[in-house]
Amino acid sequence: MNKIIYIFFLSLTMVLNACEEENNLINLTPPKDNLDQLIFDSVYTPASLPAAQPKNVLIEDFTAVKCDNCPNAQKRTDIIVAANPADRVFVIGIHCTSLAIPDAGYPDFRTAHGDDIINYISNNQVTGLPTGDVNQKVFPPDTLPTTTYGSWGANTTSELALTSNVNLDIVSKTYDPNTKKFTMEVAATFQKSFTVPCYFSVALTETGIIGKQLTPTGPVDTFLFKHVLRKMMIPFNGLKIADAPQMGMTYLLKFSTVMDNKWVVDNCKIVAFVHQRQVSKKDVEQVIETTIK
Amino acid sequence: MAKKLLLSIFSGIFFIGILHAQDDKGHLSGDLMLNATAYDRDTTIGTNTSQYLHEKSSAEGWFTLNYRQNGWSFMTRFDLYNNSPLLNPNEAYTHQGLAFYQVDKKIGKWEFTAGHFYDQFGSGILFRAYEDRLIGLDYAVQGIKVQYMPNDSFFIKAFTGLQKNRFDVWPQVMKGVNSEKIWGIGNVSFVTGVGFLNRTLDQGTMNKLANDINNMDYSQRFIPKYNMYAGTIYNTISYKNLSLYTEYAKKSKEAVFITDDVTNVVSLKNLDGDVFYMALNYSFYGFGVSLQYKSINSFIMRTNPYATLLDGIMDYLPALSKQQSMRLPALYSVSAQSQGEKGFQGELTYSINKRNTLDFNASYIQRPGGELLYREFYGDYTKIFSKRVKGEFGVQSLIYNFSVYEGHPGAVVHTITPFMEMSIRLYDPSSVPYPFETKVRLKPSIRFELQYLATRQDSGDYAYALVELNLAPKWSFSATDMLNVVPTHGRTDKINYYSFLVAYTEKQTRLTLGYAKQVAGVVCTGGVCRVEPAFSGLRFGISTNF
Repeated sequence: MNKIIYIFFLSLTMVLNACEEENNLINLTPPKDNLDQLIFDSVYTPASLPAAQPKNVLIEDFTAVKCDNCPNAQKRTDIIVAANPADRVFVIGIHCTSLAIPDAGYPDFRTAHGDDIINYISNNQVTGLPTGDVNQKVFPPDTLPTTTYGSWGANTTSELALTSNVNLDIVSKTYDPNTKKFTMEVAATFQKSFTVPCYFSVALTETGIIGKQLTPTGPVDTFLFKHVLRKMMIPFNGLKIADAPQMGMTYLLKFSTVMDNKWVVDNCKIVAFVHQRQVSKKDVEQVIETTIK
Repeated sequence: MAKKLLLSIFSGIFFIGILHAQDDKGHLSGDLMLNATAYDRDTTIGTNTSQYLHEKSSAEGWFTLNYRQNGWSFMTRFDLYNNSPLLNPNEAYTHQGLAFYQVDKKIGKWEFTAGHFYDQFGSGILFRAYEDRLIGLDYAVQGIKVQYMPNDSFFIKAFTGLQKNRFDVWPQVMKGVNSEKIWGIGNVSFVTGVGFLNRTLDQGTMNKLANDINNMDYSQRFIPKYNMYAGTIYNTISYKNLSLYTEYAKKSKEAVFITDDVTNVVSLKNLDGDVFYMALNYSFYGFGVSLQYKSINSFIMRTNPYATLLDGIMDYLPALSKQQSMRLPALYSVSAQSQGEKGFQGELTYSINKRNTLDFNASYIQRPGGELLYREFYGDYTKIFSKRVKGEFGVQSLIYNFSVYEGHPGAVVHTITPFMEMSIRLYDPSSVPYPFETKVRLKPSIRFELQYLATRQDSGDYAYALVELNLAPKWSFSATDMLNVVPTHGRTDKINYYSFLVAYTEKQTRLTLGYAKQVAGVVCTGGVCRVEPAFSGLRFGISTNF
């Protein structure tokens, strides 16, 4: 009997150790063309809770080179930015949908996630361009964050009057012109506790690009493109900060990217924001923008 | 609904057992323990949990029923938590119902158990399912266990099940096998055992892990395993007055959360782990020697990596410190660090004669990397002055890594704690009748303790005094005061933590009523510790068995 038992033990150990598990849930290697990193670094409790920052505004302008009315949306964002305090309203021009597929002579401003973003923000209910959102928020009586540009001004004003639930501060940023690598660390300090997860997203934009754009009066070869989304750090819909971020906690988030040779670094900016990611509520809690250099 | 059904089934089995009693008279037994607390908020000591602000009172109770007959054994337990902070000091938890049920049958050399059960492999380093209700622990397994015991010197047992989680279970499956044999060569006897444990993560936990790992830097990512395998081999050698216990346990790689001691940053890692433990005991001519050595490397045995604090622990790692019963020497108690530690403990007891005994203890624990966690030197002298008077005098000196053991930043604590205890019988054991004697002879005795803890760190110096009057076997009255003599951190208020307790025993039933103010800190029983907030209020307790 004893021998049988010990043979059983031995067999059990061998059989179980021989079992190979399959697990394809983890992405171990970055995409081939991607040297980017967006990571959660650490969390700590600051000695004292800083005063809440005034809430900034992110306008996402979904646009396309073959969308004739889209230049009017860009004009509207110019007006809103000029009419409001400096460094509190930021814009990302996201070229998407089939209208962004360039014909001969048109620039290609499509990115890996342009269509993903508009589908995510609008819950797959895009009806046409131009459209956009203010802080990815639903402003009743609207039922989606995405609206026509006519309502962006009023929505921006109402958001600017608020105090932010999250303070966003740049801890450090470096740019190496030799390797063209940009690295930045951001601290997100929560001014209130959340019972839902919050996420952190980073976009890279470029302004001052001259190219061909369809306008209400026809194609224009020397259109000045502003805030063009060049890259959205993955995950495109945000890196989870915590399942339920707590008031008074500071979360450190790091990211790095390598600038493409085609981009003019001096004209590029980083837009970083903390947001929710629910089907019915994707509100941006705070957003900041900074230059590369 | 499921609980009601289960209760009905048990009731049915129970009464069928009674009705069919033939060759074996059934035996019914049970016990009850009930604690009730009323909270009296005292902002000076920091009582600010939910019970002080909202509920104002709480209760916990356990009622156990056992029935044995014809090799069958039935056991059930009703648990009650009303606004209770016991399971989580920062929560007002309310739930009650059938929390434990078990059917056990012995058939010859076999024993079969279904439902909840407690058990352990060897010393428990690999697997231990146990209960310690004083600090809210209940690690029962819900499942099936089979044991085969052909003779008194050998057994093999196996189980599979889920660990209990309050009134539910953790969804991770556990399986285990353990065998032990007693054998010998001449005068040397051996108890040798092996154990094996496997735990499988559920898909929900794996999805959560995958999400967290996919949010990590690519260089730090890893493929987490569903299955964790662990094994142990242990042996006790005994020769005359010498015994040596050794155990080595190892577990396979799995995802575990590791806390950085310096930054307190928690990160997810893919680590295997092991434990080596050795305990030597030797006694001769009034001397008693005990030596222990232990080395732990990330031996984190939990049902899942997201279980926190004392939740979901599958094993028991012994602490390398002297278990203190007095208040101030026990103020900075330690538990084993499953994340990693290495250390030893040595204790020497010398009885000069029947009236004089000396006891010395030294403990030293460090992280595998060398960071000091705990160091203790302890000595006491016990003297029996007469049949009526007994005294104990001693001193303890320790270094305690506050941030590691308490889980939040704080300077390393250095203490020196002299203490004394005197017990005086106020009756002559040989004289009858006793003056206060009524129907039951009451034996009065008085006991007092004096302690002083000196430290420049944490909350500063404390003085402690206890006076206890016992009228055995019925009554016990005690009063204690713990005074923060030299406060630190700029505080000038010398906070008093006083308590009064009355206990009355009637046969097997004991009732207690007390008012207490208790400092916040680590509370340990049997080497398992948890951080508890300050307490202020009235406590009532009743316990009995039948």
